[in-house]
Amino acid sequence: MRIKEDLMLRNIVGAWIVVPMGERLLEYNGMLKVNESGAFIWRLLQTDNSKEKIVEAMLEEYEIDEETATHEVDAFIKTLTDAYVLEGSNGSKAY
Amino acid sequence: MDLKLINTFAQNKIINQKWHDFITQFELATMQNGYLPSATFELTAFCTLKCPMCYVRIDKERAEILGGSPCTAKDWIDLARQFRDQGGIFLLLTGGEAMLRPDFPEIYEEISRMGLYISLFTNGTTVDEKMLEVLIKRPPAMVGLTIYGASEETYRKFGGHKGSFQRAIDGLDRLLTIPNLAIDVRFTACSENYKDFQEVYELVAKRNKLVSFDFGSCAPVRGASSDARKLRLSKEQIKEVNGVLKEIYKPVAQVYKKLIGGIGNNNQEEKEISSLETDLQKDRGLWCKGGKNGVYIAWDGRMYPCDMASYPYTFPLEQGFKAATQDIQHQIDALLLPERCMSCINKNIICGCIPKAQNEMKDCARSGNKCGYIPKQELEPEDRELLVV
Repeated sequence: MRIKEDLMLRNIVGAWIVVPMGERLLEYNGMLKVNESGAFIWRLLQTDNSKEKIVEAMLEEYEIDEETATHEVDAFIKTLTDAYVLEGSNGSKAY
Repeated sequence: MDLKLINTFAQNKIINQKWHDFITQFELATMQNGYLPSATFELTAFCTLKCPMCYVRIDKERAEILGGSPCTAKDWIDLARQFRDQGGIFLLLTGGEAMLRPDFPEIYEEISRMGLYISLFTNGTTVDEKMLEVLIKRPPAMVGLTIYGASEETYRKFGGHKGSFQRAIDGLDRLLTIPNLAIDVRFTACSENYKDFQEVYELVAKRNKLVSFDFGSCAPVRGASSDARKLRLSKEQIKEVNGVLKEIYKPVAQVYKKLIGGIGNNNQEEKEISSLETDLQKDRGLWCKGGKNGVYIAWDGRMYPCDMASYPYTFPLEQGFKAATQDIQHQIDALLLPERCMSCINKNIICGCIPKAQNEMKDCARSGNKCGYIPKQELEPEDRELLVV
């Protein structure tokens, strides 16, 4: 799964925001805000990545146990899926 | 972990206030952290119309006298990239008529991939099928489209070629085919067209849009020439137009004042922006939101503090965007309200803005004519609230 094209993650004044561009702009009608760890996962999902690989990267980056990391990644992927920003095997959702 | 979707615009036909609120909130955060969130690029000063009250349009002959050469597509793309890299997020593309440039598609397509919220101002006449294709592919965050009248006759007074009114309406209709596109339709009034307002309102309402009313006939800037001062609405005309406004906006009374955009509409964030730490007095510097949070780059690549300013200016193409911005910020502090304006009866109504006052002053000094603005105290109380900005 990966983040759809034309959603640019930017850090402005310490805040992570996602600016939709092109046709995405008409789908999202505004901006997406993510926190620091959300931005970390977002960056991983800018290329095709699996949930397992993301959990692995989370364990390397943050001092958390595997159960917590899995729970966090699952929750964030669900949020992304519900916001229709993912495409690919685990993230596809029909409009 | 958290992801929030902040819906801002294109949710409602009354989008301008939502867009305005969104920008204001974000601008406050960026400005408090020393970033410059907004910029305006005047891609060309040429236009398809010759509105007699336009304060920025320059014709080709005038451009030759003024000298300077227009920025290339590469220049604009480079400036946009530099603006983005210094933390910029809101970019307005305007003119003249921005889409009159043959290389507009090249500029736009490149800039629209930079992670900026792009707004585009137009008079609609350049939105043909080809331009629509460009905008459908990569829609801007918002289009501000100004309609100047309700007939070919009015458009002729505004220097339009035959069929200009129809082209403007066709342009609006084409933009309306882009689903969810935020379109803010405006009407800019002067004594030559104010009687058309009701008809314009009706033809826009048929398209399920509201039209906002503006009567900002500013004195010309940066070498432009216009009859703005002669064409300002008189006291009687203001009264007449207020009557129309009251009637047509009755169904949307709660947003009525905001659509007109004037006095008493400042929200908390705007107030906070206005009160950002400054040691400037009111006869010095810039204290408005526009002057604090953005810069204006004119057709020839000079950077100004805002669209109203004829000076100071810097050279972002030579200095780099960031250095040119810092240079401007320093020079703003030296802007002074002309001495003669200090005792003017209109000072606190119109010329509270120093660049505006300086533009007005050029003519006051030359001809001794007053600016033609109506002092607030001379208007009926109900008219003061609606139209005096």
